Amino acid sequence: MATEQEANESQPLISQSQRERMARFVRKFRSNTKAMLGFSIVVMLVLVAIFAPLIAPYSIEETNIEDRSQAPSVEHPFGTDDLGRDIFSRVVMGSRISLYVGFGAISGALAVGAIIGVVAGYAGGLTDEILMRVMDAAMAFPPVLLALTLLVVLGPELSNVIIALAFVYTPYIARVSRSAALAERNEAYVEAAIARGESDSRIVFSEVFPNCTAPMLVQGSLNISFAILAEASLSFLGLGAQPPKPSWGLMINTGRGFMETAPWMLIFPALAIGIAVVGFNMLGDGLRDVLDPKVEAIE
Amino acid sequence: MYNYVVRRVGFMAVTLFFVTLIAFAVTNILPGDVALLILGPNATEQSLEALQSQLGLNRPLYVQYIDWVVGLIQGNMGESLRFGEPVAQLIAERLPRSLMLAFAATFIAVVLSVPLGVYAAINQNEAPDVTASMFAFVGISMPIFLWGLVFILVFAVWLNLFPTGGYVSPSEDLVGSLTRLALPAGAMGFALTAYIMRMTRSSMLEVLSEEYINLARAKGMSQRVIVLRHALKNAIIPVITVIAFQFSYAFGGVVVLEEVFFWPGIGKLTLTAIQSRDIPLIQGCIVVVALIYMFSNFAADLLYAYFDPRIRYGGDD
Amino acid sequence: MSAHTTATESEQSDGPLLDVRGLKTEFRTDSGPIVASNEVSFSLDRGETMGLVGESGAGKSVTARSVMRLIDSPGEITGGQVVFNGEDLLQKSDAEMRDIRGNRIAMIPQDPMSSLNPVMTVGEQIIETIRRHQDVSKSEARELAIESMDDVGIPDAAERIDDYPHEFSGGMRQRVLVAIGFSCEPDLIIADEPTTALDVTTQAKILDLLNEMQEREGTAVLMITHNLGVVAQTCDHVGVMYAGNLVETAELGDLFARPRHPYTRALIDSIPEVDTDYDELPTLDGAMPDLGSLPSGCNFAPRCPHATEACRTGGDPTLDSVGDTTSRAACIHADSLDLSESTVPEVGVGRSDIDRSGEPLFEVHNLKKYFSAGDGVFGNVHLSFGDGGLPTIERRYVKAVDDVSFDVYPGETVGLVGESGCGKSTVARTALRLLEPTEGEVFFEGQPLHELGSTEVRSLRREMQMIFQDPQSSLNPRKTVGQIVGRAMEKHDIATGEEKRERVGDLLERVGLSRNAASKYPHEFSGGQQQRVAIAHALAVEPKLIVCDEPVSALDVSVQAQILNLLNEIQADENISYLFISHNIGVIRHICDRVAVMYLGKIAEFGNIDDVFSPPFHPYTESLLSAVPHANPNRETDRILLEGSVPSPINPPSGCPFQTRCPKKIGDVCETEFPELEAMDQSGHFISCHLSEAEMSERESFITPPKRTETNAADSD
Repeated sequence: MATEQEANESQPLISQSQRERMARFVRKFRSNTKAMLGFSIVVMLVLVAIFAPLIAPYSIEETNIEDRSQAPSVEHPFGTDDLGRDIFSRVVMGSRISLYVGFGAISGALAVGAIIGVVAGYAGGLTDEILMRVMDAAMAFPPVLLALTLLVVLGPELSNVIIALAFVYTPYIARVSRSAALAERNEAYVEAAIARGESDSRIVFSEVFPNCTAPMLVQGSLNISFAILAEASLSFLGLGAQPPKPSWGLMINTGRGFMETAPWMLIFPALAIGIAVVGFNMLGDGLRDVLDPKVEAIE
Repeated sequence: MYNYVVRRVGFMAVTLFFVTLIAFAVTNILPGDVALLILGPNATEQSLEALQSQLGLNRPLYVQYIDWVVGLIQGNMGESLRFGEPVAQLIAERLPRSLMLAFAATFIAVVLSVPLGVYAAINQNEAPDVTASMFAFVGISMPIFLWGLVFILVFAVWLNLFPTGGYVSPSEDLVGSLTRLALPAGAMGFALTAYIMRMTRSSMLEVLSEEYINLARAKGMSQRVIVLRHALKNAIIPVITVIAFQFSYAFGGVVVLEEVFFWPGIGKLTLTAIQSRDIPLIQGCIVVVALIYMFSNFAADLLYAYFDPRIRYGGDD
Repeated sequence: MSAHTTATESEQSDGPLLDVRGLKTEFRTDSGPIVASNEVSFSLDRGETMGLVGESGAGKSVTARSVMRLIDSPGEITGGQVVFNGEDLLQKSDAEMRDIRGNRIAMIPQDPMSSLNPVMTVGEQIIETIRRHQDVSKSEARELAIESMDDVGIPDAAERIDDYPHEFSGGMRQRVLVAIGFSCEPDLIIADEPTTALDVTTQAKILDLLNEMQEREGTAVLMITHNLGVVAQTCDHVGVMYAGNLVETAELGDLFARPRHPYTRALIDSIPEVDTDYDELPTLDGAMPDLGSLPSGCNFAPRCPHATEACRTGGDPTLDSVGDTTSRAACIHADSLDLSESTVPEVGVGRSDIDRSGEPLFEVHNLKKYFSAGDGVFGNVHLSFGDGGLPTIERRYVKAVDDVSFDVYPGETVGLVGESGCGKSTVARTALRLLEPTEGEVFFEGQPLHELGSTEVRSLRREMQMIFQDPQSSLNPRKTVGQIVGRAMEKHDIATGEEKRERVGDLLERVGLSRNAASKYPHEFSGGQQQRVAIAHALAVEPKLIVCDEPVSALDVSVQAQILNLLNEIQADENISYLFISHNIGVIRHICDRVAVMYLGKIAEFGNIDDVFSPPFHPYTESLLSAVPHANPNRETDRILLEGSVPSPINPPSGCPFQTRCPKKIGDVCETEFPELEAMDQSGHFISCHLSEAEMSERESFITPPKRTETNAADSD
């Protein structure tokens, strides 16, 4: 009887392999500039949002007519707006809105979209056909437009913005999850599970689902950036956050009118949006590089 | 090919049904009384009831839906509450302007992005690729309306090259029309370029790692022939879908961009409808925009089939 | 020297056509450089064929691609010389190199499906090669292309030249690739596994074509392959590669008769030959080491039965001449070892006879499985245009399995053999109800499986398990081996908790792994080890029947032998039945008691292994058996080459499914009447053919010499 050599026979630690797996992921993640840069930006943003009240030097609502439309200075690094409010403080506090909407909307979309997608991909046939046609139909509406329409009905409130955007981005997550599940469904381990006598629901949630999380994570991360952009657009159009909330989109909308006299009113919130979106995009892109086995083969 | 087209039409019909259903549902089924939305919280009981019966809101939902869809097929989308004009007429007037904007933007984007994407792919991880990728990253990281504002600031306010906004019909004043088109189309094209370039790049990279590219090299083909004859022809096929998607995405962007440039297209119309809670007009607008999305995707499917001989000469075996 | 080397110039130089000296190719990785081709030296004369043979990852493809300088980053040729026609190719400029590729040195790649550009017609792809290297007009090039398509046996070349690759079958595409390779009359063709992706009957045709083209054009061929059978049928001399090193070079006859490297011996021995009866295949322990972590001494030492301390510590041996022979071997004991005798105890007692007096364990009656053609719900809806009238809508079906019956007795192995697309895997899946049968009856221990509800089927799964072709795919990458194997026990209430852990450990040892394998993830194992885990998973529920779907096809020969032995051993211990699916006739011959030969969804022939491999033959079985390349250069088989390719199962031929390609077709009766399976004798040998028994018995048995005749003397006549 032939025995194959085992690489490491030494310590039979239960979690060793899991830890190795994690360690390998971390190593690859660290060596990926894009992923690391994106990750750093996102961490920074989250920290800023958490400690925003400590960082912001001024009140964000108190107006001060004497100080209005001041150019950036030592006292007001980003200048002040038309009502004399400190733009730096408002941009810092605004990060809370963007992240709140971004994370909130995409968590919702992930929760619903991932299940729809995995079930459709695994079930195939008519179930898949109908679910995907519905998703196609939902994706036929431009995201901002659909969110706007929903907000008309729901009312222009931040929590409704989250609901609307969650609805809008669900099909995108569903689509990605479906193709992941479809690919997994053709793997022999699924057939092995059927041959073992497992029920469909166990196969979907215990066998297939865990293998589809990587593309979901990537798509989720990218969609957070879309959601942040969409929130800015909605607020810009007046149907998102309402004044005096320090939403970046809203600040740009106000800043538009002072483009020539006080461009800082527009530049800093715009930069903030750019940085946040770049951060999540880079994280998503980097994650894709790190998690995609195809890319691994090229390295 | 024939079967492929027939099947696509079938898909589209099913999707179309769901599109109308969603458009109808978001404005009618979600919590919130349409009549109350229109009249505001101070409306009296009578006026509410009057409006409800005027709009037919007191009928069962499915009757309302069928009514609405039948009207839609006949080209009758009801009457705008705000303008007092037929919705179809309002849309027909503004749609061409938006189409003009979206076409121009897509054209600019395609002309810029495909060569850039190819160039980035064949110089993978080298300076041109990194630069182009960074440019693409910045491109997609800013909301479209922001690009609009930046373009206004730079080209209209500082350089004074173009007017800041407005619309002139090309039949009245071609030059004036084009100068007013330049900035919004440029801003939108700029944002779209980023997406299409990224897609072209990754599609090219995938194709360049295919076996047939290896064989072409083993046949002694030059790099130029390999890239242009062997790789691009394959890589462009998925890009077509992305271009179609971006064209319709441009349509989503016009809502905001038309607001920025005072461009009286369907986006501005939708926004007006939304701000004045003009439900029939909102429904009409979003269905039309969704239709445009679906038709541009259908066109992409046809192009896809045309460019891919496996479909063109497949199907009818 | 002009950039364009003309044929007359190149023929002037003396010495070998190709002389590779100390060629070294490395790949940069995160954990340091990996040497994929380590100081490889060999030479090749004009018109000669050299085989480069080895298991996957041995470095044979890298070596071949290095000769053409087609190594991509992160790979790099770091040393040596490639002297071609007296000139070192490594010193050439890129432009000069491009003039040589496709012109003086051409390549025939492995995979016909992905090696042709899907958006260019085959004509364009041949013509561009010709125009790249020859100064001819477009129309002349087209004429030349049609001619070269004719040469490689593509029918109606003039019409087919404007077709796209997807309109050709796999075998025809491979012919196109051969045509491209020979289009500029090169001095050297590098054929990189040119038949690996093809079925055995197609492979035979392509190998014949290559031999014929080579003789006609006087081209030298470097044949890269893992298949010693292919080597034996095509090569003049051979190089054997192992873990990046060339470990032996020899004349073809010498290599098989007197191998000089222990690895060569082991490689030859581990192939289950069609004509030999084994009890147990001789095996090599373990698998080829990872190129990133090579052992310190001889790379082969850890697996070598002859290894001494000097082998393990003495560094990597160089390739030296062995005595005064023409062979060279990289083994410090090459001079003293005599490896001319096979280590195979060929004469076995044969397998134990199966008792078929009782009830069969598993019975399949008239099983049918039709798939709708195309994807999705409406994928099979097809519009057809009748007589110019309105198009009519029809639903089309692929008849993957069409009326198949067989049975399996306890402790027996029944094989299903056939080429890709014949429906053998579908039979297994449908019989187990992993797919819903379209029609037919399946009984397991007398229970009607086809009538059971899904819950009952699920509990019956305990008795019937399955092992898959790709072990990596069949193990969930997110679960540990312990979870995978243990889950099966839990599911069927066999064991839980500590007891389960105990039993998982026992089972892993049983399949030749260590107990602590339970805490590892599948990706930490080699392919052979993964297949052992899959076997443990199947055994966990103590089944009575295991369906093995090509369980060794994805494995290298030395590992394949280990797995086959393991399966045989388990069967002997547990009296399990196997339904064994394979395209590899040698494997089938080795492991099965009875076999069904399938063609286009139907069984062509069924019976005991010895009966099926001896006359009378179904014409398809006969051509299939004749097409197998034997790993024995002295054995000449008179091959029957089949015309055309397998018809589409959407529109199968009328009458006998094989009539469109049958070399023994009688006439109308074959086209109109389906030949029912007919018993040839009392031993349960069935053939579906209109021919008379005498007509099917023209050829002698493929089994030489017959080791055992349990059937009566009458059939072996």
